[in-house]
Amino acid sequence: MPPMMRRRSVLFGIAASPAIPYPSLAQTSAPPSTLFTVALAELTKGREIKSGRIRLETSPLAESGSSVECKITVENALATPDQVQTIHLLSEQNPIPTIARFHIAPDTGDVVIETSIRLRTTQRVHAIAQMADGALYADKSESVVLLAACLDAG
Amino acid sequence: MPATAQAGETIKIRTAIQHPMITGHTDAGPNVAPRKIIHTFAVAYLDAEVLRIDVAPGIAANPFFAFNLRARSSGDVVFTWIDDTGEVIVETRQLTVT
Repeated sequence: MPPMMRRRSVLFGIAASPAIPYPSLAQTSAPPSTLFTVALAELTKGREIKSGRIRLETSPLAESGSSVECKITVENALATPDQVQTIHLLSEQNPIPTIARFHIAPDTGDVVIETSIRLRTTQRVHAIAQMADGALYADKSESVVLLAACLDAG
Repeated sequence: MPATAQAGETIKIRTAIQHPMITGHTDAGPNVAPRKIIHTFAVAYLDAEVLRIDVAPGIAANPFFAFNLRARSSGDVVFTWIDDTGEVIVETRQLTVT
């Protein structure tokens, strides 16, 4: 898996520098929280989730979880019956799984949305697009977080 | 956002607003303190809603959103932010389509 290899090399690069305390080398994502699993089940209602059409990119390495760059791209042909309606952004490890829901008007073309999100810890984030015909497409992205977010005054 | 565009052209709009987005999560646990976040951000163009975002505490402080808009004809783009205290902030920008 080339993306994983790249991430590893970044991790070891940082760990090798003695000036920066590094929390743990075993910083892979924990299994998804129950809250996430429930939120995902409520959203899908048993429907199949397909890959393709949607792409989610988050910063692979975030110094602080308080603000992590996030970009969602959806290929969306104009005025077709299966155009995108809602995009759900879900976190596997935050206290509240739903980060945001984007409701998109019909006939608006390809969707490119950028925002900044909070991540409690190293984890995967999922973007799930619901199309007008009810089909679901999803993508996920993993971010290694060095400093946690979500707590107020933190 | 650009002030002018050609009909059919997709323009990029970038929005940011100063807001602390207080999550209500503390060391004592999630949702133990009062929450104060912007919970809704909506964009209307030519009197029709083109984008509405239900915002949760997982969006970073000083919420930033960038998105595309397809220019159709000249008119206002209206941005609305609503927070937990009921405060509504509205900003309007004119888009001239040639």
